[in-house]
Amino acid sequence: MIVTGEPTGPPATDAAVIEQSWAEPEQFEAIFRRYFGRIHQYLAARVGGRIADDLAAEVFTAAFAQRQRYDLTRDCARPWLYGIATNLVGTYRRQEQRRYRALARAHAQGVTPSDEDLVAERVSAAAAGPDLAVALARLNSGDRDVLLLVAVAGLDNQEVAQSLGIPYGTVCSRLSRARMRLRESLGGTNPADSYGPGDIVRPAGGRKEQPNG
Amino acid sequence: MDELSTLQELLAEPPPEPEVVEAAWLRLERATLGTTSLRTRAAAKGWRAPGLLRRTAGPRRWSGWLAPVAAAAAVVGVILASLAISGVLLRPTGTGGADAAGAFAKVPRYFVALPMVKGRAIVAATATGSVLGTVAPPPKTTFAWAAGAGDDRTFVFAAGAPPKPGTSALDWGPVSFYRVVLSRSGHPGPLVHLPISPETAIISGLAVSPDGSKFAVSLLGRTNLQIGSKIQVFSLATGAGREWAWPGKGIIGDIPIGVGGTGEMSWEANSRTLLFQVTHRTGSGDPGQLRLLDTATPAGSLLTSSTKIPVSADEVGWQHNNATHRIIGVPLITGDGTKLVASFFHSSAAPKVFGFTITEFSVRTGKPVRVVYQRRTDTEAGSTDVMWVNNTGSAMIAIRPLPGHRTSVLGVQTPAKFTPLPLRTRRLLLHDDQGFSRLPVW
Repeated sequence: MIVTGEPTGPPATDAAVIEQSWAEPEQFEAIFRRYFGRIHQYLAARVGGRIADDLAAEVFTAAFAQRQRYDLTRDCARPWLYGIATNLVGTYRRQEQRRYRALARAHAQGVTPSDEDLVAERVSAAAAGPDLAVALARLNSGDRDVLLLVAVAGLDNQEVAQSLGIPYGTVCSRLSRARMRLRESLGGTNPADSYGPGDIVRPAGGRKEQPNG
Repeated sequence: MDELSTLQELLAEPPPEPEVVEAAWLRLERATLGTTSLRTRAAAKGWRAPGLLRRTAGPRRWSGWLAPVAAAAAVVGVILASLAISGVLLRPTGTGGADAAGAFAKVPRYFVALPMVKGRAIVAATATGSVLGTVAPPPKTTFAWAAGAGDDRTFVFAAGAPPKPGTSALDWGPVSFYRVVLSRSGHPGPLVHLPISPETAIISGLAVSPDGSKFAVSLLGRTNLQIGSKIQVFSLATGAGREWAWPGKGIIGDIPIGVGGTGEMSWEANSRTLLFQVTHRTGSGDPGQLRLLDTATPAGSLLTSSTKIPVSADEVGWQHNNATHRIIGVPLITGDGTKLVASFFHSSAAPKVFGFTITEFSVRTGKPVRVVYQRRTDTEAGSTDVMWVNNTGSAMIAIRPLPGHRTSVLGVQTPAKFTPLPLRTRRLLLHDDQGFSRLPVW
């Protein structure tokens, strides 16, 4: 029999589940079920899939061990789990750098230039990949943590503050600084302001030629 | 599309495979078995991996988690057996303590460390962490690369204007080359500009010959990183150079992020033979070749002037999607030219069995000949890398975790033991989060 494990009845808040798991540890399954996939994707984005396989498992093992310290006034455990995940990434900075370098390589080489590309370029993630990945790697770790919790994990600023245990204002300033650096890597402007993904942009007077393949 | 959307697209990852979820679930179960209430309650309820077949309750809980552990043990056994059969020696590794001075005597006394962002480079003593001097980049430039001859005297620097806001992060201004010679006591002499035309291509590697007479620089094309890769070798005394170009597609060295240092290429002790790696992009990763360039040959084709080391293409390069074992980064060649020293990784099917080693490969056969450090765990919290190796492979400077610790430290690795560099030296180089605050070259 295949058991989907879907809960019966109205879903309890994460805080309620975690509190239940203090006495009934198996209740923690619900937390694992709800968030494992997303945590894994976040970690894979940062350190690559292979290491993420292990790190994501470690996040939930650590979370289980720490569950009695969970702040029950916070209904949603998402910031807590992403905070644990981000702390674990901290011990993998070198792998994280390798990941971004690999991304830069992949996007730099994955785009075959056409004749048209020789005189113009398309603005897309593929085209921006090398610059973006390099820019990401060059951010300081605090700024990068905030940026990726927003962009990849989808947390809002308040949740990021909870997640990292830093003031809300610090989140805002770090995010602003990180976005500015990324914008600079994309040409100094928000591409959405001037052209869309399908538009052709003449390099003359615009941003410099991408070192892509 | 704003920068966050572009970033999301760049970093998008698929959901984990079911076996990954199951392996994580099993780990959580194993980690929590010490909780009596969990064990008894879970056993009663047939606690299971979400979305997977329900297991029978009761005593079979144990077999449920023992099976993958047994499978993992079997995989480790097979790996160990295969290494033993192939003649690889598995030697114990020790840590620090005894005869540290003896260990430090086997590696260069001085190193240069480049700041990761901008500012002065420092010159310091390996065994003590004492800073012996600093080297300022020329006005309006930043150090981009540095490499040492390993002779405690000769270092080459590359410096240029860093990328401006709004330009590619790879878009350094023309980069010029400089030399610094240390005194016998390790104090740096002046930064001397080398009579070489400023380089406008993207530098992807730098290596100084062991006799300190020349240096090699690998370069990537600006319009297409895969096209136009080449290696140039210059005399430090005269600036005279020679160039070999890679025909067709291929990336030599690595795409630089921030500053770069030794490791992308390495010389044999004869100061004539240069090890380099060339990779190319495929649908399943970036397999590569390790080749030896005879720099005494006339300028021309890098392909015809070099010979291939018979290491499997799948074990070299980057991001092989299905590789179960591979070299991490670019290996170093020992001075005697007989061995490659590499950080090596292997994995197996779920439940994951990770192995991280520092392994020596035969240059002649391409096969592993000795494992000087191994760590077989289901996770590698710290990273492993080799940053310098001596003439025979009997001593190297490596970064690796200490037994029982999560984080990696820099130290001297020999086949018999690992001696961490003094805390003062490590603090000069590493952040608490294991990233380099300064990039060392020896």
